[in-house]
Amino acid sequence: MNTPSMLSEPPSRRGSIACVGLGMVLGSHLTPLARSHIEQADVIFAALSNGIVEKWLERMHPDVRSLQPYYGKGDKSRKVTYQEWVDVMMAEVRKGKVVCGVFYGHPGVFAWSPHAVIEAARSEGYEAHMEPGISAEDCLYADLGIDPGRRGCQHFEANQLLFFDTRINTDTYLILWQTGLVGDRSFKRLRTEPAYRQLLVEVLNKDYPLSHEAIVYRGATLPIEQARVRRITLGELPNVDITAEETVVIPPLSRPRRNRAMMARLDALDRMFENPG
Amino acid sequence: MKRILSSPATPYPQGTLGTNDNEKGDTMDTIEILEAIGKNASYRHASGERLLGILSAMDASESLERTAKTGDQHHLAVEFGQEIVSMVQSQVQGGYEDQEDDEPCPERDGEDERTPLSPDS
Repeated sequence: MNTPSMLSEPPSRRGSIACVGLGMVLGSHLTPLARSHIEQADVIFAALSNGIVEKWLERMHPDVRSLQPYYGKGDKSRKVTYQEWVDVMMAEVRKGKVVCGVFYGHPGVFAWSPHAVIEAARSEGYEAHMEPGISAEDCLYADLGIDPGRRGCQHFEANQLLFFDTRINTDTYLILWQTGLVGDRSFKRLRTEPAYRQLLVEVLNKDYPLSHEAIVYRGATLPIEQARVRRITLGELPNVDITAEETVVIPPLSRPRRNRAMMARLDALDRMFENPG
Repeated sequence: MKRILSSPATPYPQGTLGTNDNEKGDTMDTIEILEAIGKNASYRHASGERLLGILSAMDASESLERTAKTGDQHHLAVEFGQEIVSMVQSQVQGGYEDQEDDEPCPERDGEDERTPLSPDS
């Protein structure tokens, strides 16, 4: 029997990319599969939340290339930076390298480049894969004791509430990401002034009273830290210092109203299927 | 930056302090100490006072102990440099679709406020 050619001849080397999440806390959240992707790659590109975490990643692979230097110093749109990240990763894929993009948290949550590079790689016929990680959202649920399945949960990048006419359902939790730089249309700033958050509060005040609770949350990134949780009112939001990595959680204001018409239709279906004869 | 792991004199659970090579008395630096704490349930959720005891037993650097005490990572600049410790920009990675203002949104156009769409619409 002839040896299959695929065993006797090494296949021509094809590049590939995997985008993996490192989780949020150094040492705590990295999954075995994500670590394996890192260890088996030819080259690693890293966009992490913390320089110390990047140092940790460097212990896992000899060729870790930080994506951090692609950021400008307030003079360059982050949109340009994110496209550059895609370009630099794709350049290595096209050279036939096994590339791993390592992102903090979950690589596909509030992260443009991992989705874009996977789409680009697949469109050119390369293998591409995303490996989930423990995200800031996951940590938030654990630290604040919120189960999104109980009342429902809406997530928005805070700018979405200012830039678009966005409907809010006050029956559910409302979680606003990157509130610390709300109103930045340049994609260059890392923080905006209280007046910008005042506009956000004006939008929220259409649905919530100013006395309603707002929780300012920051998850831990080093294992010697604990989550930081500050409970304020919506009216206080413009005047508290909020950093880019903090998240604002607005608890439900109202309770869901039962849909009586649908209950009646369900009753009718139950009668039909419970007593089919 | 290398530290010698002292023997745990201690109220800490056997086999948990220095779970890796550290039990052999190998040196641990700050990154290794952080990793050891991060993957050990007993350490990760230790009270502030107990955590300081753990760090002391691991012969952690002064800047790491100060970071644990204050929650301010900038103390680690002594070891890693200000540039590394100040690296927070990656926490802003975008997210929402940056649609044009006049881009039509079929689900919203002509729709009454707060009226759910019917399957036929």
